Amino acid sequence: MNEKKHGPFCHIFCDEEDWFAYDVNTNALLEIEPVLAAVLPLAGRRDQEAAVKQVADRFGRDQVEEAMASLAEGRRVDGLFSDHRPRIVPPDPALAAAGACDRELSQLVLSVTDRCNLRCGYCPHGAGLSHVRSHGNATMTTGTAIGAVSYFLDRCADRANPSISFYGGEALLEAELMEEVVAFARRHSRGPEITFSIDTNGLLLAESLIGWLRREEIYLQISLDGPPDLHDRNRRTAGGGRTCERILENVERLVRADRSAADRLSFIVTLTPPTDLVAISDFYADFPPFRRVGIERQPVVSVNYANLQGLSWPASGEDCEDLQRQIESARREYLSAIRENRREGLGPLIQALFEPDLIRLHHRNRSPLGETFTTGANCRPGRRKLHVTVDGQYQPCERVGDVLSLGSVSTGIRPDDVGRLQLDFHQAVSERCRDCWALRLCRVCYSAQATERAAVGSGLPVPAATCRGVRRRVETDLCMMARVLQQPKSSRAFLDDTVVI
Amino acid sequence: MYRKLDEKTESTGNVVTAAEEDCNCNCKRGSTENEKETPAGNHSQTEFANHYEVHGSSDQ
Repeated sequence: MNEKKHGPFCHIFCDEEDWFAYDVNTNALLEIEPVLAAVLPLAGRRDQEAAVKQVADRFGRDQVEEAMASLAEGRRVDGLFSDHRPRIVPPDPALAAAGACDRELSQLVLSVTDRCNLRCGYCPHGAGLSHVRSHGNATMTTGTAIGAVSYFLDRCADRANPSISFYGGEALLEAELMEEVVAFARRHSRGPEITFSIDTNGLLLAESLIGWLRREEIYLQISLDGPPDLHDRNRRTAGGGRTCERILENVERLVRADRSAADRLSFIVTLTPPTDLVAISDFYADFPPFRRVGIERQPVVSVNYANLQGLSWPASGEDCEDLQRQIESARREYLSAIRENRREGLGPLIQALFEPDLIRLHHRNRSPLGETFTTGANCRPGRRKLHVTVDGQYQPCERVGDVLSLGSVSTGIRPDDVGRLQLDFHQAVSERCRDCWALRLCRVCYSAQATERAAVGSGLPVPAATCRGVRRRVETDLCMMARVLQQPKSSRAFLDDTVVI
Repeated sequence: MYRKLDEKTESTGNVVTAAEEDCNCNCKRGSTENEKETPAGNHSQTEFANHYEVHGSSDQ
């Protein structure tokens, strides 16, 4: 049973001299006076009177009384500062029933091989972790791939933008298999046109593939961490060779042969300390392959923070602090650009650092928090997305290591497995969630359970550190959002022209 | 004493019933107009447990 905790269900935070509150029940973000920031946590406390007296010593009794009146008015007029906490309930078992959890898919991710021609310093697949598949020689058979695609085609016909993506290892090591899959899916699709994408390190982007990529309009997500000296620090071949220049040559050859390919390219930057954000930003703002071919558009970039847990990593504490300073500096630059209406000139890296989170927050649910709340609402296993391992295991996504399974190509999605996964997750986090201010914005998902192998018969835990880290992240996002919202409306109108996909 | 910073009111889903629209998964990207046509990519890494936390300091 949840016990109602007295006091507003809010999170109060400070950035420089300014105070903000995030109101969980309304999902509202507020700018507040310092005295209200001091008073809010005291409301409803048993020792409220003594606590208020302490605040009065600091702000003066008039100010404190005004803050208390404002709190009461906020409750009455705007529905803010409510004490209400929802009851945390497990997912409705009906969500895991046959016909509910195995009928609608939008994205199929095929891990076509465990082989990789690179040995990146931060790659979890090369770290010997017990819960993550290691680089190996396993490759998906055509039968497995076709079986998974058939299953997907039976479930995506009603979806708006179905997609099949290829993952690895290095997916381009299995170009022939991908060609077979694309041809099969095109031939047998009964719904909207399917989009195909490949996650690749770009090293094997051979000339012989360019025609196929163009004909099938295939999207590529290329891992490219920045200019050669930064990229090659971590992303090396199995033999230790450099890779950046070869990737850039491949990208240039691709867009020279097919300019439309530039519209289907995106690049993912994995940040690890030590690094140089300015150098990466400059690199993408004047992206050499595009410049040399005369393509004016900026590349689409996304940013990824490497997970170094379990890895032996040479970064020092000083390097980590330096990266924090660089990100803070980028944040200031971003806010200045917003304020001065020069966002367009920021370059893709700086935008990629902050905007995906801002956009998601902008589109957050504004309906009032209900009586109950189900954790794990961040994902519906078996719906929307399905990852297939090289040996044909079905998983909720590609981030869950070797630990979680929903079935296989031979069994289909197993409702029992989905139900167990949902319940395991609920049991792992529900105690923690019930009084957590970040529950509506939380990103902790099943992948957080893929951190170790559980003892036989016990559920998979979600490390408490994961929750702490996500709360810090959410607060940072809220803080950035608050700063952006303080700018004139015209300078943040771009948020209205965005979507969450 | 307080000021609401954004007033957008339309609902995008139902938190209570764990609607798909409330998925906060990182693969559901916030995308600008320029990127709308780009399909959601895969995750290369997990976003959890960074050793070099770059964010705020609060906790409960």
